[in-house]
This record gives sequence, C-alpha cells and structure tokens, in this order.
Amino acid sequence: MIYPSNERVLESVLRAFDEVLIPTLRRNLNEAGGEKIAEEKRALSNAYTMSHLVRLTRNRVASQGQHYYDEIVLLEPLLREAAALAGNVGHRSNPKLVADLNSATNSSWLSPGQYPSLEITAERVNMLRLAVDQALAWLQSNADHLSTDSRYVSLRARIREYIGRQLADEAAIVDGAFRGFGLRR
Amino acid sequence: MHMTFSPEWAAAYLRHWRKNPALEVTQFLRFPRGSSRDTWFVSYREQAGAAEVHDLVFRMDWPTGSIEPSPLYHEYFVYERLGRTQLPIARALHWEADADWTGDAGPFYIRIRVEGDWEVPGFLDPDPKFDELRIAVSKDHLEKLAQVHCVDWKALGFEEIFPAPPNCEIAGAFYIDQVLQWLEDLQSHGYREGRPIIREAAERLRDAAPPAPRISLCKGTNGLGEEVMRNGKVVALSDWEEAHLGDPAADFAFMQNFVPEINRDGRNLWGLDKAVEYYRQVSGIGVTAENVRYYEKVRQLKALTYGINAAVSVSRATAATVRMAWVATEVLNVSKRSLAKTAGIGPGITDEHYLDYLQTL
Repeated sequence: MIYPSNERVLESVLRAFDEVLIPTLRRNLNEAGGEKIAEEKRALSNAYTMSHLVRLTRNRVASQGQHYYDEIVLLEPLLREAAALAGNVGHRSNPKLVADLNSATNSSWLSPGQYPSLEITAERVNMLRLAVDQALAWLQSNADHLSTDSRYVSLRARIREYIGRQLADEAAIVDGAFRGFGLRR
Repeated sequence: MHMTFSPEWAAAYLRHWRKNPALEVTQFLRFPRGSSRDTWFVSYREQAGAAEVHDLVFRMDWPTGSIEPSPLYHEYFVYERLGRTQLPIARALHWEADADWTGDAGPFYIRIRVEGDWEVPGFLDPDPKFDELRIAVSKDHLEKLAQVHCVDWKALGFEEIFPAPPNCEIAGAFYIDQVLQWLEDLQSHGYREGRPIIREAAERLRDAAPPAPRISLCKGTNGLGEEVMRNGKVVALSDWEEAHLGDPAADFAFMQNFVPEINRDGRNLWGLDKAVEYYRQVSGIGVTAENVRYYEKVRQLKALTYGINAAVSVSRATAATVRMAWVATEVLNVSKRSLAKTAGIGPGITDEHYLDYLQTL
C-alpha cells in the first residue's frame, strides 16, 4: 500500500471533521436545552480539538523526520566541543561529564538493518537534547570562572542559537496545525 | 470510578456519607470547562420533596492524573483551611480516600457549591459604558486578593504542604527553584525530555529575582474564569491548584482580564499601575509594578508545568483525554516559545497569535 499516503488519508479525516462532524455538533448544541447543553458542548469541544490534533499528526509525519535529522547533524559536533572543554579546564575539568557527553554522541542508535523510524530517531534526538541540558548545567555552574574563556562564550552562544532553531522548527509544525484553524476546545 | 461515576453511584455514596438512606440526588452534571481536574456538580435533598437542596462539587484527578503539578490533596487542604477564615471560599466538606468508594480512580473531595457563575455579563464588552463595571470588578477582586495575602498562613498550618521561603530577599529565586523542582518531579516517572530552554531561562530569571515585600499565601491563578462571581462580586475564590507561599506580586502575573488597561480620550482610567496602587492602599503590602512584571516572566516558566505534565500523562496512559493531548502539544509549544522570549531567544508569540490561541468554545 504505497498510495494513498498517510498525509492524504489524514486529510480525508480532516474534511470529515470540518464538513460533517463539527457542523452537525454545532447544530446539535444550538438546538440543545437544559442539561443537554453541557453534553453537546463537550462533544463539540472534543471534535474541534481532535481536528487540530489530526492536522498536527499530519504535519509531524510530513516534516519531523527532516527536523530530527538536521538536529542530530547539529548537536553531535556541538556536544563533542562541550566535552572537549569540560575535559580541558584544569582542576575544573569534569571527567564524568566528558564520559557522558562522549557516550551520548558516540553511541550507536540503530541496530544493523534497522530502519530509522520517526520514533527511533526521536529517541536519538532526545538523548542528544538531554546531553545538551547536562552540558548547559555544567557551563552555568562554571560561569563565574569561564565567562572570559572564548570556548565557553562560543558554546553558550551556539546553545542559544540551537534552542532558537529547534523551537522554530517545532513552531512551524504546531502553528500549521492550530493557528488560524478556529476554536481549540 | 471514572467509568462508574454516575447518578446511581452518587446517590449510593451520598446516602452512605450523610448516613441517610432517604437522601435523593437531584442533579448530576459534569462541569464542561477546565482542564486541570475532573469536576462534577451534584445536588441532593435529604428526602424526596424536601425544600432545601444541597449543592456540592466533587473534584478528582483525571484517569491520567491532573495537569497541575500539585496533588489533589493540596487543593483540598487549601479549601479546608481557608474555610476556617472569613475569606469568600467554597468550604471543603470531606476528603474521601476509601477504596471501597473511589475504586482504582484515587481519592476525591467534596466542597460546597457556591451559587454564581464564572462570567460577568458585560465585562468583556469593549463598550465604554462597561468601564465602570470593569473597574468595580477589578477593585473588588483586588480587595479579596489582599485578604488572601494577609492570611496568617503559619497559624493555618500551610507550611505542612507548601515550602516557605526563609526570607523576603530570596523569595524570587526560591520560587524559581520550586518551579524547577516541579518540572523535575513531573518527569521523574519516565518520558524525560531534554529541554535546555528551561535551564537557559531559569538562569536569567534567578539572576533578576527581586526581594519580596512580604511572604504571603499566593493564590496562583486569578481573574475571569478562576473565581465564582455574583452581581459583579467575587463570592468564592476558586482554582487554588497553584497556590504557594511567596511574593504577593506573583498573583498579579495571572489576572486573566481582571486588571484591564482602560484608556479613554488619552486618559488612563485603569490598568496595572492604578491596580497596584489600589491594592497597596487596601492591603498595606508594598507590591510594586516592577515585581509584577518580573513574575509575569516567571509565569512563562511556570506555564511549562501544564504542558510537560500533560505530555508525560499522554505518553504513559492510553486513557488520556484529547484535551490533554492538546495541552501536551500546542500549549507546551506556546509556553516554550514565550519562555524563550523572556530569555532573549526567538520572537515569542505575537498578540494576534495569542488571541487566536485563546479561542475556546
């Protein structure tokens, strides 16, 4: 089953929400009286939210794989650099952090022959994000002593740049599902 | 219990609790608003035909848990202790943890249902003829908030459930650390995700934390939709899920329309500065607009607790509601972007986007 794509299937679901379910539930709510109003409101509220989440899933299927791939390419060298700094600041060096960061960047995340599904790729990305967080904690705790070290300054700036980019990628998926598409719930 | 919570169950439970086999349930209704916890309106008479009807609220966690970082018992505790004061509040009546009645759904509690509505007719109508109403509602709310902030929380035993900052100087940083601990705890059961924006923003917020004028019981969430209103007055301060001990300025950071900026013919009739001044007069507490603005930024950090809690709940449970999945996705993303802006990263959320985001049924 190559065709239809997941995207097209989900779009047919979305049309059912927008053209059939939501208008019908809205009519039901307008015609409801008494205690039935709360029940109808809940049904319509759920339908609105469901349509947004179907759109979100469609967008994630379409774009998230590339976002994750780009993030892996960006984070692996950044973490290696953080490990190099953490291992080369005299008595402030942190061998455990160096080992953790190296382990995160060097660990193999795919078994031979395994397809890099979205879920497996997401787990890989998360492992790297957790490592960034660990590196950032160490950088912050040494800020007073390293603030004039150009390696420190560069790493802090690159982490901020990475955060901005990652949030922008995520925002594109989320906004494309919710923003301008009506009531949330 | 969520599967079996029904009028029949409610009648059986109330007959047991009230020790009255003749008791009759007259209303059984799920509150359609609100995402934090499951809320039911249940009314009963002591016997069929009796004139007096008792209106109750049953509060419980969703099958997947609450999106709030604090446990349900804290909420009950707040209602129970404040029910001993003169504050307008729906008195808590009973905490139920008996598995014979709760099943596997966990405890619930019961409080009185105070007659009123979360809405204030005309309040959001931009017509200037409602300005007077807006200002009167705002003042009334500030008076009630001042009462909350003057409560003797030590005497009421609030330290049993809330950590208290050791002094006013470090109240801001103490609160940041408390929020970070909530965020950490939420992920301690698994589904931990790397979110370096939290650490990056928290560092800046901690560095900028101002001293507090005093340590007060703070309500946490305030304003339109958070209180029970009648005739333009707060008759029951509600939604205490985010109550804590700290700088009273924190409460001004979540006012949901109750401190409206009203400008007419180039003149400011009402707004944050005037509201803070009025509050200072009625409370005697030296809250400043600067502290309020600081806590508006802290609020962006705090807002992440809902989304992360929901993300963990949806990930670990198949019974998550669709509303929780929304909180775990759009709400969490908007929170992160807003927080990033406070840390000087990214454009945040525009006003137009925010209005779109707030659209609900």
